Amino acid sequence: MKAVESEVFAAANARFRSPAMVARTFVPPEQFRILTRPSHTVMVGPRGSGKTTLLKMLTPEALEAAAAAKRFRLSEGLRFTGVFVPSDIAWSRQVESLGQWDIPAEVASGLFEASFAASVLRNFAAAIHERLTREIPKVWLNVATVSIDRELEGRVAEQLALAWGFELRVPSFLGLRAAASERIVALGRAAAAMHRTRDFTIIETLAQGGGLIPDLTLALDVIEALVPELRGEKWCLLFDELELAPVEIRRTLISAMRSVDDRLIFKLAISPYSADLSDLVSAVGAMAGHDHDEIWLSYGHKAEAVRFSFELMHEVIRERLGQEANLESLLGDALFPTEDESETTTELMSDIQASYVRGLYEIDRSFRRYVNDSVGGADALLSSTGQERAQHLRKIMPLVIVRLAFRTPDDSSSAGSRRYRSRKNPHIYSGTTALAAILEGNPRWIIGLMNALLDTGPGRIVPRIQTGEVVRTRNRFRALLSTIPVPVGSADTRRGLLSLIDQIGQSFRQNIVADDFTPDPVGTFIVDGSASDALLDALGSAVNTGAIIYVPDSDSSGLLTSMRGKRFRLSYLLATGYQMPLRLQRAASLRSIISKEPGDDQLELFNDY
Amino acid sequence: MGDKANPEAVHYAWQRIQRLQTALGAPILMAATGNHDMDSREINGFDARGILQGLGNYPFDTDALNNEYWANNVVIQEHGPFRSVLLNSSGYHGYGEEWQHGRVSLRTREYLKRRLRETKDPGINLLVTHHQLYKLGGVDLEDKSEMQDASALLEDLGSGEYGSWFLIHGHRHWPAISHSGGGRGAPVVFSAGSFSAVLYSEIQGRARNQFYVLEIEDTEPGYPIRGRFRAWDWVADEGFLPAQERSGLSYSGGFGGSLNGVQLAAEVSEFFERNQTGYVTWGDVEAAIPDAAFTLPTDFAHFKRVLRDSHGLTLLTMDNGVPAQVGKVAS
Repeated sequence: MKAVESEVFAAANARFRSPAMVARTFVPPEQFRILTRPSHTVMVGPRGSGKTTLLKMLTPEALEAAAAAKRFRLSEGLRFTGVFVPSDIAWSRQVESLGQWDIPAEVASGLFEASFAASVLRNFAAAIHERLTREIPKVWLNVATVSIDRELEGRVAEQLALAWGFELRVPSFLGLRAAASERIVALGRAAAAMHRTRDFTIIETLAQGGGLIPDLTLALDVIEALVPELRGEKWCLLFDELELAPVEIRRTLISAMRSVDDRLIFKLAISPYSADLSDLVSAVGAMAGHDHDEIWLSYGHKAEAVRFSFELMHEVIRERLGQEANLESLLGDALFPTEDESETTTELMSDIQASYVRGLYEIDRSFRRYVNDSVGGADALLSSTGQERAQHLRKIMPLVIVRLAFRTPDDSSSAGSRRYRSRKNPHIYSGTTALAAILEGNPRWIIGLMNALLDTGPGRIVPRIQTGEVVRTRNRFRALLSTIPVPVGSADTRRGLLSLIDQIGQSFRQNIVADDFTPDPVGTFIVDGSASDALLDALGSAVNTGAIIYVPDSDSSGLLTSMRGKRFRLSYLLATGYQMPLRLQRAASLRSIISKEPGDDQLELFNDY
Repeated sequence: MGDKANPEAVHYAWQRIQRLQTALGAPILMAATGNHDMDSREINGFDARGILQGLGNYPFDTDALNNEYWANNVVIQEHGPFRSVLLNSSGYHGYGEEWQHGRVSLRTREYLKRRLRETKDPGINLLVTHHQLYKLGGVDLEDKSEMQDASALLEDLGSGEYGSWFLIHGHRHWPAISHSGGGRGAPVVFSAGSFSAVLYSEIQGRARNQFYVLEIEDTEPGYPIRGRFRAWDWVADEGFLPAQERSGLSYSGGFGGSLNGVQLAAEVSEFFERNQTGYVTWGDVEAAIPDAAFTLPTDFAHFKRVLRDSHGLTLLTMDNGVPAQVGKVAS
């Protein structure tokens, strides 16, 4: 039964999957190696970028499943026990309720912190249970092998319950977890009772702990006193989806981390744009006794994303077909050149690319002028080698492809003011490397699209089917974007997030496809220093969902602590809808882009090219 | 498979089901004909069965079996460790008002009994059909669609003459497991929730779209059918995930056990007292009381209440609802 569960019914979102289920299909990205270090970490990534999966992979349950699956190996076993703490949407509701119930701020704060601490302690109790009941090889979890009998487990649980002020019923770590759950329920009831009776003294019996970190430190002291084999062990609190948590939680965490026990490690996952991200980063960086790491799970530069996309695409195929399969033979070559085109482009692809250059040279006067002026004609361009080829052909090839595919020929009877072809199915976005770029290293997109493609049957998946699935994936993503609320207080955002993104995309399209040819068109934007808060919030939502991607400078850490002055590109999935090449283009200020009047030709956003 | 016998939908779903069979490497596929698969209201012409028969390899992949199915509304097959019966409870749809309910006719029952006598009881007997055999649950849907003359079928199968039976049906979209009326040998009846139908508003708070994996123990002829199930819920934007409480059937459970809630609680309590430890694991309990793993979900819910209220013990579960430990409620 277990094999059936893992192979056929795994869902793409790790949030609701057990760590063991996550582990059975896990493909480690490059960043996982950093995450396994015993250091504090802030991990930032948009929706679907795999944050939850990565954190769950650090738990004993996942490590045990990964060791059994033998799909990959760690260079060395983890030197800490992971305690996964999911964000609970109920936290925010609780904060709202306490606010509406006229409970004094001090009492409300005490109630909320007690409830949050109980949630973390609940997960901590479960992690102790997992740590001591699972048999995990040292190459996966490199900590002391400890086995305790029920009598000792009962004593530890009783002492922990005493330290935390919980009422323990079953003397076990799972009993402790149940006691924490009861405490959370009791705190909720207490809040309701305070609202009803205005008696705020109840808090004194329930919020007895000393706060999250003192409670954990005390717990570690108790555990080490009763189970000396665990002395000095590190416990890693894995906080997921912190953007969903109310700001009070993040504040509590930040203050907790400033006075922390060095047996505790914090790994925090959060969406890229969060008002207090910089506070979290600096709190982690300021913690004594550990190094700290920052992980960015979004890829401004294509090569990193493509590498991970390839690995996961391979894995999905292996999972579905039960055997290794060559991606290129399944999906074919992409028309867009890769970064190292001279090494990988086949003779056939070179011929096709040459036909594109000659084709555009025929129909596009401005391109003809550019080629003639810069290299002396199409033949000279195509026969160039080495530095010259790199300087001209490789740079302009992606632009040539989209212009030929989507631009009306200059001598066409329909030319004139209309510059866009209503051309169906040119399939320029199909092929292995193109799909790998479009999927942005986003596990949720990769798993979803690859499974849909594999559903279409055995054998080679033709470009028409690939294009169709890219369009479906893009339309689903657009539907999601259309539901994301943005502030309406600014002219830039009043028509919604999707409209803002369309405005940017259409401006890029105008510059790349319709205007006179330039080898360096605008295709990325820089947020102006004067951007309104409403616009920043909207762009922040776009970053958090993966609609726009931060393009860090080469010497930048990658963490997005402020939007202003930063460079972004559209996700390549969305870029296919604006007929853009899958490559970084020149940047312009966002204000100059969204101030432009829209062109005559509105994009048919739901067509099937 | 379809809605109001939409030919494209039926065709699509059948292809998908077959693809699933291939993906699972399942040697046997048993597809019960649903009321919406039959064109009982002549939407697409006069031939109610036409869409299904046009599929070519429905529900079996040989003409002989398909002819037997459409002629007798039932096919009996032997598969080594188990014997299967595929019963078409929608066989008369297209005639008069038959679309309003399922039916198992006298002729079908007689044919079934004859074929059962001609074949060997291997221990596990499995019947798959579409319509429910009796009314289910406390929600009044003003529904009278249960299989006509199902009581006679249940009497036959519960008689012991034809072995022990596990019956699977759908139609009501109501996940439940029960014993049918009759003696101790009465069939276990598994009412499957709907995989993908939009659920009636009346049951939306008590059931979800589900699928199941059932595991049935090998057994000697005539001995009770026992097994376990795992259930998954459909969650919008997420896919299928381990089922939650109050989804109809929760993630894990059993069927065929002989203990009711009170009896199981007494045995677990006695085991706990005998052990003299702070807690016992559910693995220990199942090793000591093998029947515990096969307790029906309704009995299990009662067991937990009795365990707490009468024995001062509590059952701790993992996050997915799987039982983990039993310990005292208060020290």
